[in-house]
Amino acid sequence: MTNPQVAGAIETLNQGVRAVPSLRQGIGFTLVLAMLGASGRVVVPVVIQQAIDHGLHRSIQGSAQSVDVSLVIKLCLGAAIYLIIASVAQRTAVSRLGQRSESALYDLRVQ
Amino acid sequence: MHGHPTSSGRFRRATTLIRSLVAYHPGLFAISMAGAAVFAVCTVGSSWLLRWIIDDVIIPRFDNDSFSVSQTLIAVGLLMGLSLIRACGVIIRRSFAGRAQWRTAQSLTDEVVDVIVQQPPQWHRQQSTGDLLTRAGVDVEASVAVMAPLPYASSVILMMAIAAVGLISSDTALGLAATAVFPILIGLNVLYQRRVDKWFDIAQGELGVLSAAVHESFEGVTVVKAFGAENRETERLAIIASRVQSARIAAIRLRSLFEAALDFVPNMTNICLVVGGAFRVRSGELSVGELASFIYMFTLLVFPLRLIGYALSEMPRSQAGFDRIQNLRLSPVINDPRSLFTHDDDVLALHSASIGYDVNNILFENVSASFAPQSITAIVGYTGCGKSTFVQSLAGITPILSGSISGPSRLTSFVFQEPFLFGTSVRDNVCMGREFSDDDLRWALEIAEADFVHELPQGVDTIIGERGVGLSGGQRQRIALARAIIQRPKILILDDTTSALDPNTEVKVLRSIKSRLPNSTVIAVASRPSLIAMSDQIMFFDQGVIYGPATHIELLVQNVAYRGLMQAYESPADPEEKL
Repeated sequence: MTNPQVAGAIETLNQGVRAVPSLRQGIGFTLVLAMLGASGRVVVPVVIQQAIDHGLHRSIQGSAQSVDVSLVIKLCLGAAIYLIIASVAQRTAVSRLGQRSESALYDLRVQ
Repeated sequence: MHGHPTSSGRFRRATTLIRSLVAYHPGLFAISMAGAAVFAVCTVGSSWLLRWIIDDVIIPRFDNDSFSVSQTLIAVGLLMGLSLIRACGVIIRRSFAGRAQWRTAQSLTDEVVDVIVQQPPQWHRQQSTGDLLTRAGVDVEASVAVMAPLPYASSVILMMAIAAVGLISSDTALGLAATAVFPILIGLNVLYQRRVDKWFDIAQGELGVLSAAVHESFEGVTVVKAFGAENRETERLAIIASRVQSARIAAIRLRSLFEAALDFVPNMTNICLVVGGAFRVRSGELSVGELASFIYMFTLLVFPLRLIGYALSEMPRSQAGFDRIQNLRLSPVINDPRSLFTHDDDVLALHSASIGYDVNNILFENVSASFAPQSITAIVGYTGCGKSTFVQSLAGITPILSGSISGPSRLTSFVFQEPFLFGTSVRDNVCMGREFSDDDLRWALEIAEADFVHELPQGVDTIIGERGVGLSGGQRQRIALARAIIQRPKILILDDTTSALDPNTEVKVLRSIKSRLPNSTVIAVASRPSLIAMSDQIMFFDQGVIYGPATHIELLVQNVAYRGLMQAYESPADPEEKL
């Protein structure tokens, strides 16, 4: 069964796009950037889990000296680089989306 | 628009805003804050519980291969209990924060509307309707936007305090590194607000201007269409809309940078903590359980830290909206000119009054005149001589600049040159919310020669639409006249009210008023001989001088300008001559 709330939201979006077709311009690239930005939020918990499972797990079995710090550093360095890219992507996506929305609002007001 | 404040000024403004908003419904807000506190304590408690579960339940399972059923059950029970209490805290926080926000919006709107209603007509003439609507709507909404996230933001501060103690006591070095993120985020907020303030101020101000322009454009739609000025209006609105757009885009650019930084800083700190924690675990100064608890506690804070940033990012917009509302609320209520009238007797009289728009634009000085009860006085003069301003001063719509007015304490009814009809039934338009019988209504409509309303589809209950769309100018004037007549006023002032009626209907209306409202004193701006002929006395206005009250014959004999005007009424200029 169609969820009326979801259908309503989609319909609302469609109405917006129908009223102001310019909303569609560059939306694909903005979505890609937004997804890249959102993935930045996932990367940290994943890195923490990987660091504990593969970098620190041996300490659980009593061998504290055998913690693999270099693996933890490598994982965190990779995550840091990814985080920088994701942040730039997120910033660009929000900015593009905001500018497009304001332009659409301008078009609607003038119409 | 105000100047942009310093950091301390900004902080003071923010606390004033929050204090002012919370003061409307402190009870609801306090309950929401209590819910937020429960949430905060449970959140921090869950990280301590996690440490206990890892170190005392899970690790012994690996180290000793022992499994304690009772401890596992206690752990599960504690986790579930804590989660349940935390969920209750969230529900209380959210529902009461929402209620506090919308009830505050309602209270603010009521206050704005009260201020608008209290002000006399002269104040309203200086305001733009669209701008007032923006203040009562968009600005109120913007003002309270910061309220809903406030309890959550407060709970985050509580969590930060508890967590900071917990983090530092777990591991001083790592704890200090983790808590360093808090001042960084506060610094980011201050920087963001300092940069974005002016754009939100401009955007809110321009929204008011746009709203006023749109309202004006809709009001004058017939003029715009008649003169084919649609493109000109579109261009005018486009210019204002582009100013709104530019200001908002500038704010969005800053906000996108701020939001990205809000995500980046805590996440990067978290990564650094993992690296630092690995070294601490390797040196044996921290157990894996302690590190996991540490990271978990910080991770729990990351999302709220972001949200507190979002909440604070609403502050400039709320501040801009609230400032605009405050400007309106704190503007002094102008004395209603009618409250300055004295009510010594039943005779309406002017005593050494100066009448005009302001002290630099005085039309008539030192005017003394009285209007005998039950008389009809015609106000006569050339176009633009100040007739309307004079009668509006008599009605207390425009204040007199000096002198005084005395008159009966009973109601004065005024019928404007431009009749305004509300988008409701004829009955509502005439009765204006007061209780009148059907007989009274019929009586008033008869005097105003507005019997035509009985032929409308639903008679007096027909909805006639905003500004009486569908009715002719004369019909609208007659309904507006019935509105004044039904009050049985002691003083009835007509500002060229019958100008849209044909001469026969005008005479009928005036005769009916004279015969069926015998106790009313009528003062009427007259531009037709028929009204002048029926008047008991005439006041003639010419070049800043008021002649009379006198009779028509007296003025014809004594005043050349009056005689000229009467001749012009009787034999208007040859149309070809005019061309």
